[in-house]
Amino acid sequence: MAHQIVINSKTIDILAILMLMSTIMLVGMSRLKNCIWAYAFRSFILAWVSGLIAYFSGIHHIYITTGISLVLKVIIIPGFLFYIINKVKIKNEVESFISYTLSLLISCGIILIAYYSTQSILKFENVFMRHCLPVSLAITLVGFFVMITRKKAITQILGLLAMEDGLFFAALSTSYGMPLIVELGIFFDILVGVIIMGIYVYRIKETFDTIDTDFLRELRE
Amino acid sequence: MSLASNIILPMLQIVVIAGLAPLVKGFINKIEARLQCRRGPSIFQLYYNLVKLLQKDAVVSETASWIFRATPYVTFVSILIITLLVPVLSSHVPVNFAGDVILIIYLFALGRFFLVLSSLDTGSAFGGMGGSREMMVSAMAEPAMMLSIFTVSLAAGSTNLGNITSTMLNTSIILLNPALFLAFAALAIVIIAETGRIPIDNPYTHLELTMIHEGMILEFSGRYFALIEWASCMKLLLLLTILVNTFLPWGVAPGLTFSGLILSFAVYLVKIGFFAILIVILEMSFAKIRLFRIPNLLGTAFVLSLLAIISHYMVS
Repeated sequence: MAHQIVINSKTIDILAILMLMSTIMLVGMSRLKNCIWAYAFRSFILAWVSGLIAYFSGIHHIYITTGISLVLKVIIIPGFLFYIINKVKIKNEVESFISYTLSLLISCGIILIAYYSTQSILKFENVFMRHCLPVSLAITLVGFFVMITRKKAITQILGLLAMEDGLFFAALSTSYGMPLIVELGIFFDILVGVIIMGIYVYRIKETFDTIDTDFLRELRE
Repeated sequence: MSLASNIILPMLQIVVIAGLAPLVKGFINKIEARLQCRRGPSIFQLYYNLVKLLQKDAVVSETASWIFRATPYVTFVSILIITLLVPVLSSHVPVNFAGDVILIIYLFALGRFFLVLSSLDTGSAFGGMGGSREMMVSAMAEPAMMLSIFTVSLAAGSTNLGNITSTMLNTSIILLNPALFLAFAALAIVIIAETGRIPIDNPYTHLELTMIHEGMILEFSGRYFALIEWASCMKLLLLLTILVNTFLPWGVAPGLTFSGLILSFAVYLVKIGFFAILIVILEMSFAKIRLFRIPNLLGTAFVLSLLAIISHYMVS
């Protein structure tokens, strides 16, 4: 039984590390479509993790959140983002205020801070799933960083989605998820948020002929 | 036992690596050609090339110094020494006493250093360009390679590749160490960069302004060229062997029995074939990236390996 628990927590740790890798991909990739694929991949891993946690903990409502997140985050939201990209016909290149290599190094530093700052908490926690809390904090902070530094509206949406993933993962791994009604609320928030932002991206493109958010500061009649 | 480990095992390793290396590259070329709906050259084409080139005389530029003549031998011998430091079929390493994984990294660097010197030596414009690019790539690939191998060393408690393999074989739970996944991904990117495969360098072109490795060896001909080609094939196979036998050591024979070695050889072929097909799929699905995008990819590898070593320290 103890061996079983070790194997389970190791599996979840490995999936957490895969999520961390896909977040690094979000920072390091220079193509918009690859970033969206990275998001779909991370959401898939997250759904897998929540399925595993539902199975091991025996809490049934996590199955429902697993199913919803599988449909919503792996299929609908990436599909919608691809649809927007094709619709507004933008250049398939990520633009950033700072260079790729520098933003990679900064996000590496952020991840290190996440690991360092959760050290003191992990000492008192159980010895299992030790990568989960640092990784979820790291994903949240890197998503925030991506939101700040990227120029295009689409990549800012991807940063917001990364933050949401990180928070969801943190809740899942530390306290077996939030109550079902809260989870459902967050899911619909995200869905509606992404759709509204997508419509905004389209409108920005119509009005300013670019989706670079820098141009929003210019006054127009 | 001592006769077997002192004489037969080194010879076996050299025969396996030096003999199989052109076959692996030929296999990659053939599969890639088939996937592109071409017939492609025979799997054994690289052997024919080597035999033909070894029979020919070398043409050397008048301005070339002794470095140009020494380079093929230095490159080839440094790769041969690495062959003896890597566990191939058995977790027992022939020249265990001589050095560990740090020596391997430096021997790769030695061969590359002489290649770059010789590319500058003849004064050809392509050579200098290829050399400077090779140095740029390797300066970024080497730290990532070191850090990812050190992560494995930390997890296994030894810098000796033979000990690492046997530790990994004995304690299976260590394979589930999440830090090793990061190190594996970093090392895979580094191997692509070091062997000059497609997202970094195009191994099939000779007359393009984007070439890196081919630009460096443009001035070599005849038997010198044969040695360099053979060494680069062996480098690909050796790096794949290091990847396979440190991270996925299942099937490597712990001792030196005849049946164990045969089984280990069969498993080794399967694993190398699997990774060769992975390389083909990667080359098919990506275009060569621009030279100034290479720091981006290698920076990702560096960040992954740094996170591997730090998360190993912090969490375990």
